[in-house]
Amino acid sequence: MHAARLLLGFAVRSAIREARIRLISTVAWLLFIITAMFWLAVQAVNAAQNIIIFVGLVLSFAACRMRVLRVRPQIILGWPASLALASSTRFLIVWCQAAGPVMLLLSLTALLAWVMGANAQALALMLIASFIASIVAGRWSNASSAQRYPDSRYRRSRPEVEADMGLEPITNDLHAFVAFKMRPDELAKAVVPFLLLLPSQVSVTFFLMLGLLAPALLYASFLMGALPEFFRFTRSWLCSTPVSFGALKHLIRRSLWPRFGLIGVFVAPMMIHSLGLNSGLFGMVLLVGVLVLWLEITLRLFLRCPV
Amino acid sequence: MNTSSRVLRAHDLHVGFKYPVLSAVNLDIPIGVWWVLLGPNGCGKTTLLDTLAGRLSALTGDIEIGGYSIGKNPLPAKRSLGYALPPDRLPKRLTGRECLNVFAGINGNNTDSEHVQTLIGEWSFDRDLQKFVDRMSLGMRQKLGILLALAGQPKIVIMDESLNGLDPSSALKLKRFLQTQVQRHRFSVLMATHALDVVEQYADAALVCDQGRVALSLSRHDLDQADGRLDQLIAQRLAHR
Repeated sequence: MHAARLLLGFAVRSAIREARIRLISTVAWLLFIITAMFWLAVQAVNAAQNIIIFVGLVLSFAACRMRVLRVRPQIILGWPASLALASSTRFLIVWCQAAGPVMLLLSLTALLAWVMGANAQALALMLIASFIASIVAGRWSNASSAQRYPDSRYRRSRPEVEADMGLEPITNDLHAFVAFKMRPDELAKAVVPFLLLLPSQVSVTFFLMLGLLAPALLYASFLMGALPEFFRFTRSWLCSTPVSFGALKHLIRRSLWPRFGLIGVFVAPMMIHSLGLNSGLFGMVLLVGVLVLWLEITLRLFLRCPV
Repeated sequence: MNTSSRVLRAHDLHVGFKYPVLSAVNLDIPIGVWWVLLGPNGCGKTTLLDTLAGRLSALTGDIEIGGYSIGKNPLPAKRSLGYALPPDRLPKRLTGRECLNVFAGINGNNTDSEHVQTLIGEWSFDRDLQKFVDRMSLGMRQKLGILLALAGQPKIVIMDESLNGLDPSSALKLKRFLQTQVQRHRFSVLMATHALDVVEQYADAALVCDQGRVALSLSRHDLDQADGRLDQLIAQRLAHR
């Protein structure tokens, strides 16, 4: 009984402290969203739909913060693992620790959206989409996308960079960078400024396409921006390592698919809800996705080919 | 060995993840001894300790702590165990004092054990315990991990390079403290370390892991023979194996 009380106290205290720390950044984020909402409300255009989309973005951002990735390692190797606790208690503690603060923030966001007049059905859809996004992120994300960028080469000093000429860290850096930028919370941050600059008459389709195109363009620009680094550091490697089909498969499975999965899961429910099953639009979205995929594969194949 | 004095027993233990990292490990640790685990980086010391502490599952083999199988009766087995958590695994959002309360409470103690109070006093750590864990330095978190291991009434304390990050004075106090407690038969210590001074001056026995096995077992008598050249003795013994 004493232990149970202590553990409950632990879960509550750490969840509140975590939420308080997260809240500082989230309050700033919400203020930004509210400003955007008022801006759109003043323009009186598609207000309800816009709010729903905003809320979806914010929820996705919050759900990603659930840090699903950390739950399993915490259960196995976290602090409760070596204590005399039943496995169900251990599981509960870790989930409370990981999900508690985020659930609090999610509730606040949903409440805010409700107050702002968001459609209940659409709101529920957004909640489901963002939860699926968080599960997708947890299931298929690779180690580099689990880390916060910048975590390696771009942060090292020049002598350290020069001392380590292997390709692996550079690839990991690029992966970490791109994977980080493709996370739903980062996507949300990237898309919202565009929304603020929208003209008065815009359609939901425009929002959706922008939501997909903006990250696709960002992604492409990050890849292009990283090319000089690749060329500088991989000259010797390019001459020695052949292209491997296994490596390519690994790359797609571990690195590309999660990002497209995330975008797909996030965008598809919104499209179905707002537009119905529009095959032309789906085709266009698919085309953009395939183009970005092709761009990355081409670049990587090109970089991995012996010169 | 009298089974009542035995605190940890491992029989034909294979540890690892998909494949064994260390195979055929046999341990029989009585109360009141300080054993040290040595070996090169990546040889499986941490994996072995994590498995003994019930944090990882053994691939095959049995582990008993305090007479209970850690696989079949994990709760009583873990009550006899003190595991010094690595600094990055501590609950970040609690203060050191709150961590101690939670760990002591889980093991059925309402207050700090005598070991903990002694060590807090020796380290003058009381004020630092009021800090949140994520505000503590590496050394402070290392100390907290050690205190948490002692928070129950462990029969065996498992430490994985717990001297790393401690200042020399605190490390010396810890070594002396552990030596005293071990000599009083309060508990046993199993410590993975690269600090050869610990082996030479404090340990009762040393196990050397190499090439997927516990390759050498050195008694206190063997360690005394090393005469300050333990690294050479280990290299020689490994070469003549």
